[in-house]
Amino acid sequence: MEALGHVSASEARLQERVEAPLLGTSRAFWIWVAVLLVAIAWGGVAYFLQARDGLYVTGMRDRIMWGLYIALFVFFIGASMAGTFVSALLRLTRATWRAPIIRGAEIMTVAALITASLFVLFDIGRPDRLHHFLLYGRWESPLIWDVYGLATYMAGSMLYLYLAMIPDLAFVSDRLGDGFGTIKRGYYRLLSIAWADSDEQRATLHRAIVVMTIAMVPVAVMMHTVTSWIFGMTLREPWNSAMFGIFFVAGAIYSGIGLIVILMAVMRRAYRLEEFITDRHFLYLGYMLAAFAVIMVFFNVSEFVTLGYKLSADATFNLNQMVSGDLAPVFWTYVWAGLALPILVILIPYTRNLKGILVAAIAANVGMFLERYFIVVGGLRVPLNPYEPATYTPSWVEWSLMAGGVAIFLLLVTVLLKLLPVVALWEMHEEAFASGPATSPGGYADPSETFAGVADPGIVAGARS
Amino acid sequence: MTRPGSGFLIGMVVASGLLWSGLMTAAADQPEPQVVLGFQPEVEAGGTIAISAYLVDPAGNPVVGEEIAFAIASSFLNVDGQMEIGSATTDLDGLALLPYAPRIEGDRVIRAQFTGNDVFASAEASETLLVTPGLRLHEEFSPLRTPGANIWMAAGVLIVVWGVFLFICALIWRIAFLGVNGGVGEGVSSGTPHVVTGAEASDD
Amino acid sequence: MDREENLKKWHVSRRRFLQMAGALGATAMAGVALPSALRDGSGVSVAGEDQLGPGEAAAQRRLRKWMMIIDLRACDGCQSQDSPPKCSEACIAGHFVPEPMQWIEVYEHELSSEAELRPDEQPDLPINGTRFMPTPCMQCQNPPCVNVCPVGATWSTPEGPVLIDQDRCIGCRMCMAACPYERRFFTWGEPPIPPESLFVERSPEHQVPLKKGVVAKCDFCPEMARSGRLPFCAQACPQNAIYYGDLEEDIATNGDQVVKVSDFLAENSAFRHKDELGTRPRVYYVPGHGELAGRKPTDHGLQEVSWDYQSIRKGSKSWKRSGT
Repeated sequence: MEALGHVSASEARLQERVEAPLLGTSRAFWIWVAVLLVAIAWGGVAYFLQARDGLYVTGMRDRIMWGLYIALFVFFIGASMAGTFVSALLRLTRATWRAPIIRGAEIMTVAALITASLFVLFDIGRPDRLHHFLLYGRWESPLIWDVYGLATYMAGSMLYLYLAMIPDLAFVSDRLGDGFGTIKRGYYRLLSIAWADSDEQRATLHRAIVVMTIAMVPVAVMMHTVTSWIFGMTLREPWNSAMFGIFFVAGAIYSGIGLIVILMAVMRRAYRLEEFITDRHFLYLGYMLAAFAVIMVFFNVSEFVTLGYKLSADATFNLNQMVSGDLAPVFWTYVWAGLALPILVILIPYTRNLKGILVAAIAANVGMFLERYFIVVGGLRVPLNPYEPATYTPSWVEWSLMAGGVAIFLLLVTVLLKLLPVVALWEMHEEAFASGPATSPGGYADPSETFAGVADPGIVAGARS
Repeated sequence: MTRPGSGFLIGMVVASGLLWSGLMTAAADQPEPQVVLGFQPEVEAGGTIAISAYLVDPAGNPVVGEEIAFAIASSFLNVDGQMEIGSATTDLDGLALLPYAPRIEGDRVIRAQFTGNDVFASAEASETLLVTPGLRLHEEFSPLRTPGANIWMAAGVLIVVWGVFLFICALIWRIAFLGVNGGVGEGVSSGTPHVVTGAEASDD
Repeated sequence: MDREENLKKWHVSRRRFLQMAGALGATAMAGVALPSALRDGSGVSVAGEDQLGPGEAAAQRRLRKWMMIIDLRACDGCQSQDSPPKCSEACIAGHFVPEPMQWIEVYEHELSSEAELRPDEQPDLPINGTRFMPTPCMQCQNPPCVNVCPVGATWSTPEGPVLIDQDRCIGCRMCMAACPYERRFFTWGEPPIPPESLFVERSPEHQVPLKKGVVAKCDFCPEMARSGRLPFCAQACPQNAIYYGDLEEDIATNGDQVVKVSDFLAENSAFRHKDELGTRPRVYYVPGHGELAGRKPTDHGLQEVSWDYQSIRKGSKSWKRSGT
């Protein structure tokens, strides 16, 4: 293929690794898929019960009328921020190290959005009336903003994912032509829309990617802001805050970066991409993770200090329940594991390595999930009338649907990673493998050195020590 | 006995000098004043009328400084009653004046009542007012109107974003078009001439 | 109030009601025909506007504007009756309200603060005085619930009440999150209502029988008022503490006397619940602690309302307000 022209040994190895899952399937893959399918089936049983008996089977009641489902909805909306937004951000800033990681991240975005919309379906009392959103939708409702936002963001993310994948699809359909069955071949051929890597096509593609990259940043921010406005547009104490929009956007990027780290660690192992997704990528992602952890700390401090200083009645109740009340375990886990730990891991040279950053990313995501949980449940727990504060414990049905939903997310990621080229080969070719500073400023000047695993010693020194 | 001062004086004398039974006898003998009620006979609902009630003693002299209570016979949800609409104190001419804006249509009976005091017995008068149909009176809360913040603004944002998406789709279409008609189709259809596999790659 | 009698009265007024249902249906059909985005999103306008005479400007036609005054001076939480609050009981019986909903619910508020003091807080002085506050839906003029409904299943009628269309509600519970008075309830399962309620004709103004998976609340009984009756709660109040009125005609009654609303509110320093939120409720309160009924502020306690239906619909569930 003209596009990739002369390739180095390292690049050829990358191509092989990326092609491998398209050609053959390992036993581990099937076991993994089977586990996921069992979880999904279990969730299906739970959903059947819920559909039959109503939301009666959940732990939600009139006073705390949203629970785990909405917390997970918000969490997965946050997770979807990862791919498209981070990838657009990295493209815009021309960070050349992005090339091996953005494809996976973009795939995750699409999967997370589909999962998020599933949790809305789980939560509503009359799923049989879902079409009312279309028939009677009122543009004044924050939920409708979210519905339209979700649809727009999902369409955009899919388009964005696809756009950057066209040359790779053409590449695999050409390269693997003989190894594929006819149906599979036709499918890749169709998706690659006669990409012949002509100059004109290349110019058009670049133009499309630039436009799309610029468009996706505000769309992603809008998406997360309107999600926060589901809460921000009410008169309840901790939700009734102008800060919610930016708070949710920052939280989404934070957990999103964490998810990218986790995904990269898994992909690196599963696809044997150690050579290409290096410590350096984890380090950079770790820096971003720590930066957003600091931003989250800042937002939390400014929220708690402004409320805690004045101690209005509702705010007092809310702060009490988080600091020392029923939600204290959740809150302090969030603070220490979700915020402090990732910052410390990146700060301390001894832990600033792949394993440490992976732990930090997992902690960040657990923390962000807990944060979504106490925002939803804690906000609803502040009593509006004089009565004993309500309690909420998710029922087994909710836990099962959570397991099922997460399994659907993982299955979607797995299947998409299996069927699509997992690394942006052409971007790797153009930026990472290209030699000389002229074509890739700040990129990998010497591919052989970079991908032999001897990453920039100056930067990774801490991680290596 | 026309001056309020005198009335007060007599009242004090009576109160302090007589037993209860005597008081009751005296009360029965109290002069009965007269309430003369007047207002314009017809008004549109919501319009304000001045209800005037003159309180005069049997001799025709004004009774000053006494309170006249006004009520209007009303029926609501099958409950009938005298709806109090306010009270006023008689001035030097014995006039108690109450501005009132009736809001219920129809023939309304307005009643002015003087409850009586130590000197005078109670008295009342009523007159009918015709309230003609009017316009809506209760002002509803009207929300903040921000120019431009409407459905078209929301639709505009969506249209712009989806317009960009459509533009991208057009570019994808163009890529496909170029691929099919650009004379380089063999790059796609003729296998993999330029691909170098890992094994064949030069080890530079 | 005798339930059967109520049912009978209900059917007498059916014709009036069917007119309204027809109007609703027509509006709904017009709504479906139009693309949703082009419709006025502020909710479906019902009955009142459709009953206008020809050539009469809608904005000028006089309409009822239902409202309520609750005189807390007279409310002793039915302590003197040795009974659970009669207003709640009558509402439950009249609307077949399923357990554990109380569309009008009496809360015991601390007197020491205007805002409600929660059980976990202590009043500043050991006076420990309370007052009872019957709390129906406030029928806000700026209703947060209506503002957030994604499908227009809840709306303010021209006459004021905020109603719910149970056939449109998708059960997302956004309105419950938005309501600062917590006056909205969800049917978490098949609601525990008596089988006879199935014979009642359901409408947004009379939410009987309730469906599964939708939101319900006090509907302010405008249909009863239109046929010249007080709502169940006002009828049942032994102290006549609940006045039902009309802001347009400035008149209200508690079944015993007729008052001029504006004067009554002003003379008795009336207030609205959580008025600082800007919801502009149509329910007003006259401050007090049941003194007219002979209650002392330190007489605590309220009897629990119960839902003793002879039988409940087969397959229905019952649940609690909180927890599982």
